Amino acid sequence: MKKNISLLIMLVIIIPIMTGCWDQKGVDKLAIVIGLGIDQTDKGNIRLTAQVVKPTSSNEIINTKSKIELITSEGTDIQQAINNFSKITSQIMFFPHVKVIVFGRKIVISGINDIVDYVNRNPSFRKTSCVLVTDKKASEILMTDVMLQEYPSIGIEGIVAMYDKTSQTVGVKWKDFIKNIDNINIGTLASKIYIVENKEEKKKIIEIQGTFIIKKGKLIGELDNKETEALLWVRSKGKNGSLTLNCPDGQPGKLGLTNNNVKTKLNKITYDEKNGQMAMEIQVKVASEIEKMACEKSVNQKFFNKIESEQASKMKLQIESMLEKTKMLNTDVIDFLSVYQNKNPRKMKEIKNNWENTFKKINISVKVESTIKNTGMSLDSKQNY
Amino acid sequence: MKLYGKLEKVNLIFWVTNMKIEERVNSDVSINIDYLKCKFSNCSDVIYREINVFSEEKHDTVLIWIDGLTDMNLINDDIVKRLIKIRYTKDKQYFIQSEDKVQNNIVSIADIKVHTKMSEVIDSLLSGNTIIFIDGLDECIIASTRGGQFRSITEPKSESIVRGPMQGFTENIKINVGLIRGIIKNSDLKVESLKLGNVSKTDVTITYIDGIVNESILKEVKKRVNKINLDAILDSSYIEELIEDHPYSPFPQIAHTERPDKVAAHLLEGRVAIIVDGSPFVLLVPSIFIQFLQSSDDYYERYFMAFAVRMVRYLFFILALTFPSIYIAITTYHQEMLPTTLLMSVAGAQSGVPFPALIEAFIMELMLEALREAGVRLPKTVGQAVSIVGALVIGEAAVSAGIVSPLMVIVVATTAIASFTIPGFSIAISVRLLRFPLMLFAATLGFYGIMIGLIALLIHLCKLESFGIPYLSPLAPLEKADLKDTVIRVPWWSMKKRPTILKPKKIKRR
Repeated sequence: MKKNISLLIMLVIIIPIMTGCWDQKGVDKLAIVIGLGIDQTDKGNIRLTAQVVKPTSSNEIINTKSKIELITSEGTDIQQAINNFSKITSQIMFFPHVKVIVFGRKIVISGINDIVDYVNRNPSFRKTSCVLVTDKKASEILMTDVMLQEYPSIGIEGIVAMYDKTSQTVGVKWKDFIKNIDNINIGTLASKIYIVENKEEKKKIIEIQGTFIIKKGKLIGELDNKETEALLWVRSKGKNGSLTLNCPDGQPGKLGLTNNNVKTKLNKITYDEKNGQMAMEIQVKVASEIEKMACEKSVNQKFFNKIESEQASKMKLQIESMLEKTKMLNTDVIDFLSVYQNKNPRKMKEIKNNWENTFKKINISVKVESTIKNTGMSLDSKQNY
Repeated sequence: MKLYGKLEKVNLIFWVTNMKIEERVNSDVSINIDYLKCKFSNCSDVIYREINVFSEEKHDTVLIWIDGLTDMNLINDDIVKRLIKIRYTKDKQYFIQSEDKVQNNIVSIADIKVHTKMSEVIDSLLSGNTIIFIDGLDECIIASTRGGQFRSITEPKSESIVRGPMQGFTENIKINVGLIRGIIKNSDLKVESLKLGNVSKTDVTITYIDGIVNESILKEVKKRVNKINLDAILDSSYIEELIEDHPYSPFPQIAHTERPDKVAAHLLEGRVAIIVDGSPFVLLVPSIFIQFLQSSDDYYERYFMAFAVRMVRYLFFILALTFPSIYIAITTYHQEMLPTTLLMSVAGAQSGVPFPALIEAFIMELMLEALREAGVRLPKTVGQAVSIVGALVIGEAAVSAGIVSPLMVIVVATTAIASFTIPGFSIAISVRLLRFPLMLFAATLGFYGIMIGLIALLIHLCKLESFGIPYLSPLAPLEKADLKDTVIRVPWWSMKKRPTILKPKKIKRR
């Protein structure tokens, strides 16, 4: 008994001393990275810009000027670049808290497959960081302020999370980004971020609007905000997007609508093997609410019906123009292939290899049905014409 | 009184000091007195009163008692007065010297015994009885005149509750047994007494309810108690340490309490109570782990409140054990588990501190333990200043000086408060001590180390037994019926059976 206890006590004392503080990272030795920018230099190297939090002790006076610091490092590839951080700073780069990953335009054009694989494999990077692409350089983005936010990356993350307030951009997180990035048939989306300069006040702020399309790891094209909105509708996500219409029956004034709920179904998928022609119907059901109305006539059901049909036709045009653009870029953004796969898994294999050709010839018809809801206590407009 | 010659005196002393011979009361009073005077040589509190009761010349009756242990009123009124009265009666011949007559007609004490052995005489003298030796009789009369000053029944200080009986045990075993009897007025409540301790000869009582308690447990208890061979039993904790199953374990296996209602409740569940003279703490065997986390409060309030309070207690029990370790593990190894803004404040707080988290934690914990220990011994006027609030002020000063980070002060204060929520004091001490090795594991191996430490503790707890009952029952081995009183307390109208873990003879309560 005594021998057992003394053995136990020895083990309890020796084992922790033997391992020591192996793998210990004291908090004061960490550089907490909250934003990462990936650029391509003129020589073809990769430049990483890390936005690091400056730790302020509670005893010091908080300096409101800047709470972040930028560290840049260059390398031939991303692995090199991350290791080269240790040439500049003694702190360990701590990536699990990265909220935002911004790609510069140049590097996406040349291809980001290896970067995506590195970030995927590294256990430090989380799959909940937002993915954005700029039209110029990522390092400039990380230097710019976000309105009403001390830490820019946290601000950017917040804006991306609120994408459904305007429906003008796609809220893409890393886990959505890599979902189909290895699929050669489908295009992946990333939000577009750019700097807006206010020349009078000489202030630069961030704006997020629009989408970039990436296929096979390279940048293919861009969708502006109207097309993005249409894309979100097709994905059943276009809440809170607003639409302005003219008053029906030729009346002067404008009408404002907000979409409360958009539900889309991809129906009637047929594949004609002889011609290699696929046909599909996109059926969109929209429920919207009248935000503002400046028309003359009093409200009744007929009035609403006219508004509904006009909204439906407008939305149809918008979706069709988006589809035109994707056909022009030859990218299937909506992932018709997997929709077809759900219906006919057997025939998938034949089409899969030849998807690009099939996609060129695809025949998509759009049908939009809209209803105006919450009209219970609607009042006549208070305008005087 | 005639003393013997020197040689016989030496013989007598030699004779008396060898206690192996069973001495009997001698018909000659003077021999008895000499015997006692040798035994109690240099004891100035043993008082001898000689009275001429039956004859005019000789002192034929001697009263012996020990001052301080006896009630003087009883001796004055009921013994001495009565014996003196006889001299002035006319019919003296009636009162022939027989202990029967003395017992029945003269001495008016309620509890009277007649003894022949000197060892019993000495024992009863030391218990506060009065010895009456009568010349010519070879038996002595022992009258019970127990008295003495004892602490009155007050609220128990170590276990205070909001609602319920407020009586607490005192140091006198008669009063304690009386309190228990007052609650369980049943002839099945058996009280067996014995004397333990070679020098102190302390009264120890084993109490149980016949018909509920399990025979094998009772047998085991009696066997272990009878084996005790110690020179003095000063407190019930001496007995506790000697009859434990696992003396090397940091966890207590025997519960103790200062409240009679708690003892009564446990007796009704099938436990055995050991009451020790001179100690207000009564031992309850066998005991299980969950008992130390329960308090009488749960049973005297409505069951819903009991449920909520128990949840808080269990949560804070775990916190008291692991909170500093979790803090150390997260800030040294697993910073990705914290939200970003919290991590920024932790980083900011630790930027000015020269020590790593483990050293900080050890410094603060040791300060707190020292403060707690000092607080027990400080006089009351100064003691108010040294409270948890005082510790926090010291913590503030330490933070401003840059020795510890403010988050550490919060962690340590929360741990201290958490350890005070544990009702059983013995387990609170164990938890306080077990925190330190767990902190060491956390600092070297992170969460993995904490898991290893906790698993080792769990394995140890599963192995513990208390008088044959597994320590972690009813959780392991699982008894679904007994869970009614473990995590929650179901209302009294739903508790129809006694807990089966103690294997009582009668299961049904009604």
